[in-house]
Amino acid sequence: MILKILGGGLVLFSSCSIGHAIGRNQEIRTCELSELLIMINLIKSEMKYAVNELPEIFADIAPRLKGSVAVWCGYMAEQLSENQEASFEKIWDNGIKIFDRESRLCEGHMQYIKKLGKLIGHMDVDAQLAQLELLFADINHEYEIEREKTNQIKKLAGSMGILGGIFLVIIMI
Amino acid sequence: MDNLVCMPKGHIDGDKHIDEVLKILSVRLRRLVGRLSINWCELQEIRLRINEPIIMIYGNREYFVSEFGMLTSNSDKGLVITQADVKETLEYISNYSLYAYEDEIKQGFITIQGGHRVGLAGKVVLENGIIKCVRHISFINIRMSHEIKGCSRSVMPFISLQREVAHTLIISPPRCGKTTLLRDIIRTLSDGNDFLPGMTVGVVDERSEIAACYRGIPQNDVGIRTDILDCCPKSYGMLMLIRSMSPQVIAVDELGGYQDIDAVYSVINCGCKLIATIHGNSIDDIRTRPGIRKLVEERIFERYIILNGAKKVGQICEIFDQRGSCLYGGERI
Repeated sequence: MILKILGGGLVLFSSCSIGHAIGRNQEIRTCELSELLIMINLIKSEMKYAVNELPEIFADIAPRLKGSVAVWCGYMAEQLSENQEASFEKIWDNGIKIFDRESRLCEGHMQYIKKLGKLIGHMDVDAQLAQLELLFADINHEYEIEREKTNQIKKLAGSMGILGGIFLVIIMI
Repeated sequence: MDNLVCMPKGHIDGDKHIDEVLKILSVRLRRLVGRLSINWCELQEIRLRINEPIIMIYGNREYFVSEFGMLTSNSDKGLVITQADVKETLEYISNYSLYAYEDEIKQGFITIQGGHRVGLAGKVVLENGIIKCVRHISFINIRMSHEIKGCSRSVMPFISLQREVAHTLIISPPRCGKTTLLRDIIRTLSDGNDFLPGMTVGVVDERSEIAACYRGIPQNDVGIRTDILDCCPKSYGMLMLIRSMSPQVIAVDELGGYQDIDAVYSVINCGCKLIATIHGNSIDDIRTRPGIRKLVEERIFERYIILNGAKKVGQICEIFDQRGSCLYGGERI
């Protein structure tokens, strides 16, 4: 009987953890989108007021960001200032691969980041700012959707975890 | 006369120069140009045009670079530049940030590390008749910087008057070495020499040709007491320098507009000495220009140095004082 109780407890704990992890995953995704929005705003201000070059911009903004976005910006700063043997596109693609490994963003969100790589670096400052403004609006829209989903998913995943665990325990007993 | 030819073999570090230039070329071109076994000090220009062969001006002659990394005079053997080459080269030139060089691109050039100048041409976008930007850049001309230290040695005795600097105007046709001479005069005045003690020199470097600042740091040696206003219009810059840096000498390249002339009067009235250059062939030639004529007639400049590149780049043709008396070469005017 003790073994059954212990086993049931373990199943319940695992199930709750899975539910919590799903909720947490959604929370991190929303945070990352929020960090991306901050990043775009920082890039815009660095371009507009300081007219800094991209390696400097990424180096400046990396410490002001959090999580995987900060790591990615740090990588970009390092590669852009040291690696003068690869095109921007290649460096950006490599950066995205690293970011993708660390990040919880879905494929749809990653498309925005790929788009960002095609936008920055070229043209004049005004055109850059206008393009970044548009991208900001798109990501902000995604962020709002994810933010609304976050509470629902957290509650749902939490409840499902507990209920699923209880269900499994009952079946096993 | 020959002893005053002011362009001796300079102290040019060819390897350093080529490293600075190689790193802005696309990887394909970098490997190719890097394979050339030439004297890099003699390299003057590298020209890239989309769908045309790469051209190098080397030892005053034009060459193409073959796919095997050899110089050739046959254009058919020259490696053809692709759009990707130009795009990649532009990324390296601008450090992946073309937007940050918007103002420079509008002027048609970017100064890179080492003071080399990259000329750009493409489709110009106008807004209200003013250049807004240059798109589809398809033509790149990399001009190697050739700083020649010591080339002003022969003119220094003429521009020093009783341990003071004379207001000096260097008159020269294009590509005859007037900026190179001005740069060395600035360096010599700033560091001090046998004729003059070192003095504070303010330079308004409107087109980054004199000091060739890269990220604010002069790439050419302009002396230990020199302050530079980079990319600043001469007329504003001269006044800004007087107010902020209290220079003893102000140096500017290519005087021209009326605003420049007004600023020259401000410099002179403030007690600063002026060293300037202007395009032209002779004093008579510049006298035909309204603004400059006034300066000449009022005998503002105490020395005129006339350069001529007919025999050799940087050859000093004549030196006159304010009354038109010939101090060196030529005849009294």
